[in-house]
Amino acid sequence: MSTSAASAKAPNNGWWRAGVIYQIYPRSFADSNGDGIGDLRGITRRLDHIAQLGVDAVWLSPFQKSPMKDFGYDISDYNDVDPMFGTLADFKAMVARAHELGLKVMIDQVLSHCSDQHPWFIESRSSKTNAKADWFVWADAKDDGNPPNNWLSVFGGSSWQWDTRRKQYYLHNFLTSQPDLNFHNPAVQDALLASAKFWLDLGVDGLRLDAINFCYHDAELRSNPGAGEPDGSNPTVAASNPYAWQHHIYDRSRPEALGFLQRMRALTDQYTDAAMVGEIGDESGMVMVAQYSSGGDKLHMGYCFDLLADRFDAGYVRGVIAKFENVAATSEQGWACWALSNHDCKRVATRWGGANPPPGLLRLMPALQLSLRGAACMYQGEELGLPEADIAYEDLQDPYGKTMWPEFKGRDGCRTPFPWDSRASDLGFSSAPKPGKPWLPVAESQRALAVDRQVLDNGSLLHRYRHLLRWRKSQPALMKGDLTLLPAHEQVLAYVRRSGNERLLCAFNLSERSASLPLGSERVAAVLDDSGATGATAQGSTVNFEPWGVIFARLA
Amino acid sequence: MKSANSNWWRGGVIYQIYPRSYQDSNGDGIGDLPGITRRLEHIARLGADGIWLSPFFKSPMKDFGYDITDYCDVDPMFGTLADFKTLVNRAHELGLKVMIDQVYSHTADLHPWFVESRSSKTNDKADWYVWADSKNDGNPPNNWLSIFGGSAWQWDTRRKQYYLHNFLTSQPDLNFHNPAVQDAVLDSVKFWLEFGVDGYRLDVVNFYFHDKQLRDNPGRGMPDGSDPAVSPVNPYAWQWHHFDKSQPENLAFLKRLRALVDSYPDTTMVGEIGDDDGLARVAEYTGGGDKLHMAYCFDLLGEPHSATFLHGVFTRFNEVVGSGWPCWALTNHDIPRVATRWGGKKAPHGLLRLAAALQLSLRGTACIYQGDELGLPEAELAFEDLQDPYGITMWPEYKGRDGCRTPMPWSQATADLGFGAAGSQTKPWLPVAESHRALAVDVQEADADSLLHHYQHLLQWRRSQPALIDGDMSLLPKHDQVLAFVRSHGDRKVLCAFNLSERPATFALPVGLPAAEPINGSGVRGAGVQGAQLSFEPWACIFCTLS
Repeated sequence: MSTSAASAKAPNNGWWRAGVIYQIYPRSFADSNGDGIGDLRGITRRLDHIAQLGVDAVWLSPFQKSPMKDFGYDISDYNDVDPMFGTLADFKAMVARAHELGLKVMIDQVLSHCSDQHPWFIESRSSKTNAKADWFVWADAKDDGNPPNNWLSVFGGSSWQWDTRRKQYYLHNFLTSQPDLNFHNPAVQDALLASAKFWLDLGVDGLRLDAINFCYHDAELRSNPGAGEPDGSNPTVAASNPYAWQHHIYDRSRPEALGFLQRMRALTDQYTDAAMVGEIGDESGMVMVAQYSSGGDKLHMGYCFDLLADRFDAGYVRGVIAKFENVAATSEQGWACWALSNHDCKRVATRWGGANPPPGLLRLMPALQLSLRGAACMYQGEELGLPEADIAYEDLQDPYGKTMWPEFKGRDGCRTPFPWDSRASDLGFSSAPKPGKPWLPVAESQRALAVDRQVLDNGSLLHRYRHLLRWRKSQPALMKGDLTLLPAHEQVLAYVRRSGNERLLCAFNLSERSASLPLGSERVAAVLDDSGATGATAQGSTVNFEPWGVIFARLA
Repeated sequence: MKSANSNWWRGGVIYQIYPRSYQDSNGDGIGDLPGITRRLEHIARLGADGIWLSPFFKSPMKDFGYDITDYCDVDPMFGTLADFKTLVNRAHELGLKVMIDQVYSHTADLHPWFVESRSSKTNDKADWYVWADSKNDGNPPNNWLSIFGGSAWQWDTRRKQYYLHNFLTSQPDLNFHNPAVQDAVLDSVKFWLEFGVDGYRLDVVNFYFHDKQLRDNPGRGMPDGSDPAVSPVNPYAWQWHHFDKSQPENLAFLKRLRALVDSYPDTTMVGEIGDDDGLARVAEYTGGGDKLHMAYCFDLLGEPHSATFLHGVFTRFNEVVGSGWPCWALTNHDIPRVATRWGGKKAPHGLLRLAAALQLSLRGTACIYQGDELGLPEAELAFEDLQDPYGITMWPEYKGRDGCRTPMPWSQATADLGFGAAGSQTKPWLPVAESHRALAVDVQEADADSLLHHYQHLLQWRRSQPALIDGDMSLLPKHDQVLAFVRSHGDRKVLCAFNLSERPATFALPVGLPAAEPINGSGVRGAGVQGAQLSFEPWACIFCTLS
């Protein structure tokens, strides 16, 4: 096939393999013009904070033109900036400044669906015969007027919305205002590839592909098998959501996606050091990460939800890593990107730590995340240990939360304005002289954790992150070593990262009780105190942990 | 316990008021009760027997009052209980009965009953609404659809169950299988009867009960568009509604309701029936004298209005309805106005005059919707101006119900057509229709040949014709252009004939019919009788005595 014309392949230094990517949610990072909504100029102004942290790249959640029904994940023009966020010139300035600071820029591409205000959909819904009639997923009603099958929307209700113009249903996996693009149509793929090319040509270094396993649906529209009420262990969706009551084998994660990803990769490979990370929300997320990132001709890496769950006991996390190591071993070049928080889930400080997260646990988290094999995504505010914000129902903005309230409160709690300045009433979110009310209320629970405070406190979590991110780069075993799990332990997660002759023990007491880890025949040669990890001591073949203690040690 | 009933409602004329849009007295852009009180003389002068007020009860207004949070109080938007008392007193002074619109099929989701019901599976009101587990695949328990779009079942994360809503998701369906629900509803009926109202219009009265087994409705495919109750672009119309409404258990509840209402003198009830077979339901619900007094269905609320169509409706009506009693409406707050629906962009004046004469000579009670006496056309609204969630969902093939709900035009010279309080600058909740300006009340009052005077005159004249009020109705043979029937009361027989076409027509009276003599004074014109032949100008009608 001509798509595998490797001749055009640009060099790639693989920075992303152990890269740390900082996710920015533009609405909530920094507001430069005082309209209460973050923007690109605000981000540019605050890039120093990210560079000082020591990460490799930023990933920006969508800033393209959008009616904002899903806050930018509903795009009406793939190739332009929404005026709310600024202009294309503002974006170029942001990219230039990031590059000056040595930061790569990745942008979020929402290809699975667009906004119902996108001209493509306006044309498609206008008749059954227009040029874009088949650009979305249209289907006739059943004889009783019901949708063609049992597929459900993640955000509630059937995933089929009736349209009176065509007297047909269209598919939407999320909001009704987010019609699903029909990837079975090659013209749709071409149009989306053209938009990816637009941004790569503009100078972005990579793409984060939203809900990429949703791009294809079963062309026969077969119903998903029922699964009954779930036990709550699936981190991609709350058990109180009927969506979780199905095995999603036909509405998403279809094998045809691999062909599209190959086309995306062929395009991306023409740009130096470019990388793609795909978001994969699926019950068997890790298997799909392997599938989507294997072979060096699809995604560079996949991003699944296994560490975005409520569970984080030693046994659970060990199981997740084992799954990844297993698939990475069996699938050529499969690669994962680990996240503990993002803009769609409850902040990890609260999710794992509860109402009063133990400081030791907060310090353990980055040590764990940054010593895993794979890339890491950290979400804005994680470096401050921000708790999830409590939002009153009246303040909710997220349509998902409004629908699923109160058992699932939606995603606003991790999207409140970033706390820069503990002294400002809006926590320094806006730099305008008389700023408007922020689009979500600032969280008072985050005031004492604002950047200005943590910068001044050498013992702060922010300094912990800065230190770890730098120290990690000095450890080849962490940057590129393989990973071997030590035997399961009720409280302690332990593995060895190895690069050449260097074998680095990484061990974490994922419990609030003291613990002791026997190393068997292994012996600690030296504890790497310069990592800054605390709460554990090694004595020969045993490591003793305080609650939430962490150790990095060279094995003999 | 039964009180006396003068049967004023049999053959009476009821004028429907949509309170949001009738008259704004406080300048907030929304009509209110004091505004209505101020305008009652217009209705008395028209000659109606009673008014029916669309809901003015406490409501979050997601469906503009058809979603109630307190059945026994007035929404502050419309005024106070004292304002309503004043309205009732003034109406009674003017000889007008007052009927209120009660919405018992469902409440608002903010009603304290639902707030409690959804809180758990074990609370006192857990069974006051229709809750059901999902299927194994997370889907709703059956194929029932909401009239306003989508499944009729809404998921609730608290109970991890679905609840039934036949309309908006914010209008959960009350479970009438639960006697406590019936008791609570009857308590509220009693509240208003004690207060002094004369009757009830019962919203979607055939939706009270659902099939307890939650059986699927049979599919019928895309309908041909002849059912006026639903638009074929709405998937709701693709089912036979055997199980989600019109259940037999409703009859026993209606008897309980009637027993209560009958303990108050001169009271009445009219039920709204939207059903696959509306006339059959009218018969069922109003026959026997122990359920509803009367009911209306949607047969005259569709687009078809040819002589042959109407002949079919009334033939079937005579076959089916028996001792039941219908109420005929040509427009209501849910339907495009008859002037546009039947008359198109520029309704012929003759057709508008005919529509009034036809409606007021049918066997049954008549409901006149505010503004129909002026021949108002349906207002055209931009998508941006839409308020009706039904229209917003079904746009553009179905534009919703805002077009018949624009502010009432009282005076031609005022920017807001006299809807607002004097000097008010507030924008009305729906824009006034410029197409209504030349048809405003003050213009038509000043023009003796106006449609308003035609209505006033007809209503007055009709009181002298017992055959038209309470007589039997027998149809003359079907004719391409002309609908003709005879109303008889004792030995008085009145021939009523209408040319439902824009062409001249002749109609041969059947052999054996007594000689026809035109009745003077009705105000209808354009037709004459020569021996056994009626001749009509376009849209003309005639009333004759047969002797």
